[in-house]
Amino acid sequence: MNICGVLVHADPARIDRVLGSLKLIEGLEIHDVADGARIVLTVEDVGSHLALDALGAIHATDGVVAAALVYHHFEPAGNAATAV
Amino acid sequence: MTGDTAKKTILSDLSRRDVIKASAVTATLAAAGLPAANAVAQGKDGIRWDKGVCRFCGTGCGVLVGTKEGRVVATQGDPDAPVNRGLNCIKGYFLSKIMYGEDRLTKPLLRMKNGKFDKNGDFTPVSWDDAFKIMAEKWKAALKDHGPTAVGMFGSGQWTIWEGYAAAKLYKAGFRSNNLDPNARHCMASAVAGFMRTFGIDEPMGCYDDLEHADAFVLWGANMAEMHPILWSRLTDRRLTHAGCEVHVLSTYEHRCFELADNPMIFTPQSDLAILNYIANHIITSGKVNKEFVDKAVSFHHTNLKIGYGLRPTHPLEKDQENAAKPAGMKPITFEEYAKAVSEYTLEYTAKLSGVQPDRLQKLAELYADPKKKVVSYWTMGFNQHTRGTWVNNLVYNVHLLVGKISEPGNGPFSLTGQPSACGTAREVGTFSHRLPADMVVDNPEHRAKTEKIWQVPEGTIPEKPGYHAVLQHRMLKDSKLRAYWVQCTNNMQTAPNMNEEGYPGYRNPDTFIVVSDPYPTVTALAADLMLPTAMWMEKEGAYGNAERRTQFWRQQVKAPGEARSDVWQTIEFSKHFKIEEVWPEELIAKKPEYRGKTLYDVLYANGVVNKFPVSEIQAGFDNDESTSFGFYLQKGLFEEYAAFGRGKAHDLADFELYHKARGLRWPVIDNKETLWRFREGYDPYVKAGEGVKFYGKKDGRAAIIFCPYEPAAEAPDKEFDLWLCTGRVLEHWHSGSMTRRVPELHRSVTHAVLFMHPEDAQDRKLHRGQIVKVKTRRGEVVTRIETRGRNKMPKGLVFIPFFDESQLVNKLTLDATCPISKETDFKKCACKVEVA
Repeated sequence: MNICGVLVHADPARIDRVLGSLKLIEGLEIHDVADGARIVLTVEDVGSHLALDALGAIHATDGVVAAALVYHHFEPAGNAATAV
Repeated sequence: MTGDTAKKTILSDLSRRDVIKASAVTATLAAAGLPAANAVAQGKDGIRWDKGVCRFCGTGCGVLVGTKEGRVVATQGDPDAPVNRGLNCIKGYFLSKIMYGEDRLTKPLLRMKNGKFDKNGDFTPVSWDDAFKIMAEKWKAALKDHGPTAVGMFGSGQWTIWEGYAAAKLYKAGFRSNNLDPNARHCMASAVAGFMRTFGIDEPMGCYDDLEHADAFVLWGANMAEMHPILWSRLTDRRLTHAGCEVHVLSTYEHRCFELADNPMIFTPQSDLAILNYIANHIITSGKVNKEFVDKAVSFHHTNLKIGYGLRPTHPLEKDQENAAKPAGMKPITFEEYAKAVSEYTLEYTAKLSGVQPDRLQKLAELYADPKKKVVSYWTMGFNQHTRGTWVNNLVYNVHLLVGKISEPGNGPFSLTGQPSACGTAREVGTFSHRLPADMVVDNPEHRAKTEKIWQVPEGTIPEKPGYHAVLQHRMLKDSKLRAYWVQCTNNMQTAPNMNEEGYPGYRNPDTFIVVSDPYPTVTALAADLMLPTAMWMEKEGAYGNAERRTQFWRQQVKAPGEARSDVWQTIEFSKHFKIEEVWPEELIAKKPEYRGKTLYDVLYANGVVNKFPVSEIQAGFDNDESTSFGFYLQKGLFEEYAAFGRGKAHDLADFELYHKARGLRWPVIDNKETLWRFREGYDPYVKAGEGVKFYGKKDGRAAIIFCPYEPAAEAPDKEFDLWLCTGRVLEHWHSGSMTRRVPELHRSVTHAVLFMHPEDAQDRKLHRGQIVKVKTRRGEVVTRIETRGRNKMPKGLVFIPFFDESQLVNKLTLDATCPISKETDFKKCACKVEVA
């Protein structure tokens, strides 16, 4: 299991385009947008699409000024079945 | 698995995933300043959270570390950490994974043939006891046959504070050898030399709080967007929210910081020396010198010329360099003489030399000159890795000092660092070949005497001659002058310059015995004779000091795998293998006869100070494997003995236990209060009422403005090698990649280093994007691919290649020319050619 909480700062003038591009990234989920500039999202491994690739894709997205990793949870596959 | 069990597993996995995702969202909302139930995802999911410090760069971000069942499973930007306020950069992704690479070393491995050590043998598992026995045999032979200068150690700005301190004691007092140097020599030695020359005391006067006070930022050879992303996000915030805020970016090629640049400047390599002198000239000729400040707080000097390039003495560039032996020397001059010296750096001359458009240079100079604009200058390797690295550090101080823009909120020059404890360990502890703790140096008899007193060793123990610095260590290994050599916590075979001609021949020289302690089989470890498995990061209690003088602690969270042991354990355990009579001459022992028959361990560590605190005082609820092994609270004893050096000397550290409670404290810490801006009354307790500004590192209380001219690089492009070669780092990997390239998914998705090149340079050579090419210099060649687009845009005539990729050892290409003062290598400038592979 590999889940990251990410805070993205976007150029407010291009926020719609940024959101549109981010939504196309596999394993990425948008949870909140504040002040038309700050985006709260998560990325995770989905099949062969890796959270790490998603992080790279966020950085490479036009209109993204900065992206920061806030939270990261990682466990090898064997541990994932442990009940909560 | 039955259908029911499988379903249950999937369900619990799903709900568990939801819980974890909710934690991730909660933490991220909080970091965004949005309402969230609880900023810290505490208590859920059976995870124990504790404060820690990021393992990577010198920014010093606070991280919360989540452990479960003896394993780190989660990390979170620490919302209470003043440095990063809940954020981490992309490298934070690797933190919970760096300890769990599949090829972790778990046993000592010795090169053996027929059951015995053999330099050409295969790596074979041995016990710790056997590992130390062969080491002790080699060290004793080197000491007996060739004296203390035949043993040495290469350490790290990633060592914890006590690891560096224990190593400094073992070498400088125990073995009586100053051949101890850290990898920080490659990274910020020029910054150190610059601080010492100008201010007489090391490390920045300001702090990261300047980011929220400045009106303008100037980046000199610093790619903060990629190398210090958290500071970059703070800078970005200021630029976007503070009216009139400007960002000026200077570099030899265009990188990601240029996206935010109001005044972008690409300059010809080495011409930064001229640009800084032009700014000084502009300030003087436009009447913008802050006369009151300069009269009170500044003195003027001219640096020694003809100092060479730090190459081997036989190199043609070292001929007729009359000041090669005293490169740091300078003579006092008047303000008028200084003004005359910089007067040749006119706008016209400087624009021509640097290739920067005159209007942009002028805009930059006017920014520094404008008394109403608060300016912070940042730099890292562009300045420091420079054959005139110390000079260029001095030159930026000259500019700030002329206008008095220093030592106050939003105004100041600030040297950023690349490693988590380059400041805390390499600099403050004094693990350089010429240094002792708290800015003291081995060639000063008073400093040696003070150190010997605190260490309780006889007068005359510490040798007065500086030892071999990083680059010299490789030369001396090759020349069989250095014979028993230990590398800890760094990958220097990959990262030191001129690997083909110096590093590799040194390690494989039959006369040398090389030990490398590392968590992983790095290029360096694989070139050694003995590999020792090292406990890392959260597998030990630690302390780092970041670029803004902030000392930060963490507790041991998990156990190291197999027989891996921390560097401090290794160093101290090794000291048990030496009797004082085996390492000190009779006349020295005669001064402390009570040490006769004792081991180095008894004298250096079981000395009544280091072993003062009982194991019962270790951090409750946490392991501390070193303290359990030695039978006392090792880290506390080492820290308290070390702290005695700086208290009352403007390097004051707080009590040990306070750091386990605080999110770091910036020294000097007086009465439990940290210092944000040094040298200015009202901020710095060392400046008394009525003194205003006082640069107390200098006896006369004045900072030194030092004239240093433009001089050419050691190796520039010519007809045959027709391009500048610049090497450096990338966002996604940390330095040589020994930690960040071990994450399993990377094998699938990433990436080798590429050579960034201007499209027309590629076209001129009939090369195209993606093509496999050979990069050649006079020293070696590397095969790589060409990239003409992407994050870095090259000017014509210069190519850039990062050094993280161990399949492309770019230091086969680099030249081992150094700044003759700081001895730091210029990894940014040599000449190369690029051809079809």
